[in-house]
Amino acid sequence: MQVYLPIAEMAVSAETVFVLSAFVGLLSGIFGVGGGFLTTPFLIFFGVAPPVAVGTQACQLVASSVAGSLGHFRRGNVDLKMGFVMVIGGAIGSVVGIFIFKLLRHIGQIDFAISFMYIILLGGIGALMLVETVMSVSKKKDGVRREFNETKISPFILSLPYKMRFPRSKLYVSALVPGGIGFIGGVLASVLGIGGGFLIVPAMIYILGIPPLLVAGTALFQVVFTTAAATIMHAWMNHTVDIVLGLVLILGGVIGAQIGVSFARYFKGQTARVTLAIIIMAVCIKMVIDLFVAPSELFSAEILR
Amino acid sequence: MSIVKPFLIFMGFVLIFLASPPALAKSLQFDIADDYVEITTGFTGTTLSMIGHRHGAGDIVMILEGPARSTVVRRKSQVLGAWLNRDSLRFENVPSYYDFAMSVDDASSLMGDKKLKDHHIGLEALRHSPEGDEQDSERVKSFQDALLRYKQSHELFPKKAGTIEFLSDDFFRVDFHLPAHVPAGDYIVRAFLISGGKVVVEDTQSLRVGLTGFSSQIYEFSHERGFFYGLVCVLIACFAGWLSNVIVRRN
Repeated sequence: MQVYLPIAEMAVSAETVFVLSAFVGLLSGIFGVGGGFLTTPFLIFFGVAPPVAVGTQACQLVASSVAGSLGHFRRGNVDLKMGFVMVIGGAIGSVVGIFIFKLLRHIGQIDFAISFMYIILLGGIGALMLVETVMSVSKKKDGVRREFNETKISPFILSLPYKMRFPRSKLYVSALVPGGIGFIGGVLASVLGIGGGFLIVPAMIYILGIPPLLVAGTALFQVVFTTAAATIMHAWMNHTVDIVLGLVLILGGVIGAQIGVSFARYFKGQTARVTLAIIIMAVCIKMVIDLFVAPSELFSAEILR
Repeated sequence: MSIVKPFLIFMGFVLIFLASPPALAKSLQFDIADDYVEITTGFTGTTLSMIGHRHGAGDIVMILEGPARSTVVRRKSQVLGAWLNRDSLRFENVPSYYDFAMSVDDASSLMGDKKLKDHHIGLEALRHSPEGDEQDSERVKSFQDALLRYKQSHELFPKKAGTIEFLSDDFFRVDFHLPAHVPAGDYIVRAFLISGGKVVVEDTQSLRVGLTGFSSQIYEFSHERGFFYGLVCVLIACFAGWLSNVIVRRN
């Protein structure tokens, strides 16, 4: 069924977009990641303008992060105070991100910038995941998520000013650290249309030292707000949020994630991580190739309003 | 629609026939089957039919032209092995959509290039000069060619002139195809009767291509009240997320 997207101003096959988002939802159900980093490139590949792909993807992430964080919230695995500090940083970050986005669009480098940032992020994360998996095979950690984080926090982080107490996480740390992590999440949400979980979660564990039990819930809690801020900013400043496309993505994502969660039982932690790392690396390599192989059409056009 | 269209065409015939002046003066009339194209949520493109009548000898040109837009054309080149946009030219007043049909094969047989350009007849007439004082004509031409290719590949410009189908000696019919992603706005249909190297009769009608119903409401809401539209999108997404969480817990 062809559906006309009023903001993207094009018709797409609803089934194709549905299957695509269900596939990404499936991956997020199995691996517990947002998957925005896969949906955005796929949408661009289907001919959706990059700004619309990014703005709409941010909207879809609001739905998936709300769904994800509610469960953590009920189990009490969210450090609300920490979350709010991150949200403040995230809100500033998403505003800054919008201006970066507008600037890149104005000088005609938004497509390149999106590809380039995806290559750096996906390449880095994919490689780290592979390395970590190889390391953990020899070390064999226990899989229980503990209430305490045993990571050594660097003295530089501990020396930062504006220290705050976070009773739930049992931390006494500068507000700049969670604020800064939230800020990066906000910029990523605005510029790339992703929640940035794959960057925020490691940062929260290794830089902030938050207990592993609280990581996922607190990260998702702040993703709700940064992606909501990014959605509103994109809709307001760029008019690039397509709610019709967004609803198809949300529906596909929800159904895909459900199937994914029931699939997850059949995946071992190691296997899942290696598989996801390989998928991430594959998307990264595809983007590198697209950037370096001579395009068949050197010219592109943008119709201004 | 399937019954309405032939009826409208028939009525067009009747109107044109009645309106045809008995005098010897040359004339040209036409009528569009639908003077409002509605883009709904299920819109997949449409064919716009026009029917006309000429009185007197001459060649006929019909043009369908969408609202003018500024368009930036960018050219990629290699920087450290990566291909990125390095050069750009901006063109003003590029029709967002353009299609034309002629009763002859070659536009240059109608009249001189200058006149063709003045009347926007033919693809060559759409070669606008770029903004700014650009001297390098080779460079300008490569960007103009690229703009044509871009428009043609998006079905917004034709690859070649359409044909005018003569139903009798003087009654004719023209079909223009509008793709699914046709830009909305006020369109102009122009008909020319050309004889002896100049335009003898020119007739113009307007046509509205508009988003209707759900699509149009969303479009207008998002462009006029972007902030609140964004807020509504977020609320819908939150609701969808909450709903899916509830459904998951039930199972």
